[in-house]
Amino acid sequence: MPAATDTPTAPLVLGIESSCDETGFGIVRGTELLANAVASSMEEHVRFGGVIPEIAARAHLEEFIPTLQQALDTAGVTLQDLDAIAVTSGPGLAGALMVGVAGAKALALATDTPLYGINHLVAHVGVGVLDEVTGAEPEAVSGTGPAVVVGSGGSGDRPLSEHLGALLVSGGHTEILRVNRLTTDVELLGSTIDDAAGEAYDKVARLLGAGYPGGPVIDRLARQGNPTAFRFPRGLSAPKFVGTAQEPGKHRHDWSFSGLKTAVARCVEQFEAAGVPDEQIPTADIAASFQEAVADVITAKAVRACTEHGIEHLLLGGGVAANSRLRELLAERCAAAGIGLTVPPPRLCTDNGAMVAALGAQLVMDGVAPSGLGFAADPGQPVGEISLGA
Amino acid sequence: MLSGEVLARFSTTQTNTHAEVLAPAVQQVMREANVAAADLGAVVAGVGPGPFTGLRAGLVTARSLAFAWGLDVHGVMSLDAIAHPAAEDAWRRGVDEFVVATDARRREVYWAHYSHVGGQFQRLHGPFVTAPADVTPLPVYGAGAGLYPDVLFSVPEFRTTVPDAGALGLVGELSLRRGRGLLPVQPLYLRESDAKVPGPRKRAGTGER
Repeated sequence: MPAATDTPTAPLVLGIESSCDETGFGIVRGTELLANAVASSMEEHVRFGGVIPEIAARAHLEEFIPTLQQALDTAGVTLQDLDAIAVTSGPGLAGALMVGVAGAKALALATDTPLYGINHLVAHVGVGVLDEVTGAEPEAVSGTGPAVVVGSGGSGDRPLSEHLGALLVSGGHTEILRVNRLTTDVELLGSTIDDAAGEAYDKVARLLGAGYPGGPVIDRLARQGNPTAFRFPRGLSAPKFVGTAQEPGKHRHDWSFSGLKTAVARCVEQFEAAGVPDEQIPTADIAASFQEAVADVITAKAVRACTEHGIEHLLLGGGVAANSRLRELLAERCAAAGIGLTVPPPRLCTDNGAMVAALGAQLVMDGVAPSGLGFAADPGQPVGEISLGA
Repeated sequence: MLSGEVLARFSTTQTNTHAEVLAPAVQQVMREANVAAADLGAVVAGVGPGPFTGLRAGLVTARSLAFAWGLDVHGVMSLDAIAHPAAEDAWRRGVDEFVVATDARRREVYWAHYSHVGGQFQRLHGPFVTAPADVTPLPVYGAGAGLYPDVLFSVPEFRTTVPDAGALGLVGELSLRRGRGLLPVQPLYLRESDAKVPGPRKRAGTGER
């Protein structure tokens, strides 16, 4: 394997993502995005109302080579041109991760290319360096889903702010991170202690008979409802969990959505027990009130964590970043707190290979040693483990 | 694998490390056999039946190697790798038909029913996944028999035999030369995922029903 002595200034990197139900291959040259091919098995999970790990893993195997081919064709490069390959090694679904890791190793072995096993969560932050997110590539910003950059901190010659935080909200994750240095030093400030926010959306959507995935269907339903109709709980907001800035409680920056989900269930059950027919249950009001509770508690806690940890610019990532109310309220509260906000375009917020490639390129440019071929997928890989050691 | 001779092989009894050890194992056998990618004619992979996660690790590895090297990739039914030496043994014993069985967990076995012609196996039926009691009553080769000695007529010398990559390669090479017996590189899971479609949510009672 070539030594890391001659570090390319803009390395050509392939990124592979298979931690959940998206098979993603992305190709970057430095911070320039060349290809972002994604195949999703989402349709196959609809009838179950959630991602079934075995079905997702089977789909990864079938989509692996076709999606890779698509990315190579789009970028107009061959495997032999690559300077490095990066693959999500965790966190994620074990069976799904293993397909990506085993395939990535085979590609790295066959082409004698350095391989990085990298952290899925940090990769979500990694998209923040791409030209079309920082605005360094003007044409891309006017695309279908432009990046939103609000407030201070996102401009200038540094693509990422020195005092950067990341809020990741998806079907599998709800986390707030402090990014001291993207390639070597990322710290978890808070996370959900039970369901991920997107998971709560799926469960509530099912409860309301609204469909799957929950995020978009609840968002749509909520637009016709009154967000103040019901007061649903904001988890872990009691003083005993939150404490004070000087004496923080155990869950000051953590979230919990299981109580909220139960509260919505009780609310629906009360209407049913009172004999209200299904079609007269105010599902739009319930959806709007639920969405308000989620957006409120996520943004309030995220902005507080930023303020108390010196974060001046926040990057939003994960599938739930597409949620209209979350974006709106987060922009409002970040602005009020003087925190800059970057929201990448939706196709870069949901799981994809481009983010893995983007972080991989940063690792190469920073001279971080590759992971070799002996590493294992780690379904519980901690945020601090940005790339795996050899 | 060259003209019916195994140049190098790797195996592990660890059942949960496929994703970690596979690529280094490929590296190792190529080094031992002193073979470069340019020397290879094809890649052959066992397509199962077998436990899902390990099977996928094998197939995605085979497909990716072949893709990157520009080689054809073929599947071999994994039980055939045991049938290959079993057929020779059966021939010597004067046994006409036999079964190959491996562990399918959950108190079941993966199995197939074979005959042989002059020591070369011919698959008659299968593969299947069933309870050991439902296996056709014939001499059984492979680790599946060793696990259920009360139910299956185990051939003692093959009581712990599992599919071996060397034998798999031999079967693949033989099939390539004959132009038959190869399978697409598609996993033979033989079982659906366990996921159940959730039933309709129970409505809260009004006491009137």
